[in-house]
Amino acid sequence: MRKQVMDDQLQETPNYWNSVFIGAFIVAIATTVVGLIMLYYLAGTEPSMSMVIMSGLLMPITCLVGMFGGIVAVRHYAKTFDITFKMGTGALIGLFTGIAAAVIAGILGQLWNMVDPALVDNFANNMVSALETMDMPAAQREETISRMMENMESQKAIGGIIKGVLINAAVLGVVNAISGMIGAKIFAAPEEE
Amino acid sequence: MIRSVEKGLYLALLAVSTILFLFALGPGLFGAGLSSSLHWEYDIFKAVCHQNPLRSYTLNGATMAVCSRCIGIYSAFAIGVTLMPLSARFINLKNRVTKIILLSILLVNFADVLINTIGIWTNTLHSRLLLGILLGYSAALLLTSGFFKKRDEETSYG
Repeated sequence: MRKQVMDDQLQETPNYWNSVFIGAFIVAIATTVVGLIMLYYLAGTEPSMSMVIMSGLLMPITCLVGMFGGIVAVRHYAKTFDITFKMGTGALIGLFTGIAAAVIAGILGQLWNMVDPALVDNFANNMVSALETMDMPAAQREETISRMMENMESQKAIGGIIKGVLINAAVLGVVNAISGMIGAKIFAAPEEE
Repeated sequence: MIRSVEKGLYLALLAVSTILFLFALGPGLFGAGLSSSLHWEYDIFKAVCHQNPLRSYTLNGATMAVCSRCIGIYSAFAIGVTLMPLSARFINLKNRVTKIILLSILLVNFADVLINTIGIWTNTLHSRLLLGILLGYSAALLLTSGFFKKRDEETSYG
């Protein structure tokens, strides 16, 4: 029979940091790898409408993986120790998972920038060329291009890198806290419920 | 009668889900329009949404900070969390059932992306919004029994 972890018995609560880092590494590596595959694909093809559409289809995979870190970490924690726990614990695990994933993904991204510094520039140039061929309102096109170029430039400066990691940590932390609560309901709720 | 448990966590979730929804609406919510192309809302959701303008709604002339599927998720989740006390009173589903509903809708969303990629079916702004709404609300529905319970339920789970 699975035991229930109570808030007033914190000394009996198994350590969840191992699960947090496993969830964070899975999210960070998956998002980095999928992101790099997409970047190489988009940086290496002729600018076209289909290229932009393809980016819209591949990106949701990265997004969904990013949101699932809390669920992965909570599942690992619940299954490893064969326990049930409250949603608050799931939220906490998800929060830490999201923050750790953002930091690890930020480090991996910077490491890859050192390996292939031309990748981001090639991608940006290709995307701008593709957007210029598209049938869309000029204002919307300019908005998209300026936003993209601004992001690309900011990602190269130390301040921009730190700011990006902090924003990602906050957002991934919050989103994964919610997915951690969902994970707790799915994998760590008592059987009688 | 309904009793609430983990009240603090519920209020935090209510606040966070509402704020996420409002921010996801993008700069148009504040009447910023197209001049705010580098608005902070886009930075916030960069890590969790592709933000493709062609797959996003606009509000007051400005593209929302998330795509149509994501705005469906955030809006329905926020509304679902707000309505949790009512849902707990009128919708009496077992945890197992809400799990199956959430998983099914998640699979439908994956299938929608996959089938659209293959080219069998072409989804639209509205169809993606609808699937996002179903996903967001089903997630809120799953969490409802964790925050609000019938008075006669005897479980210590929060």
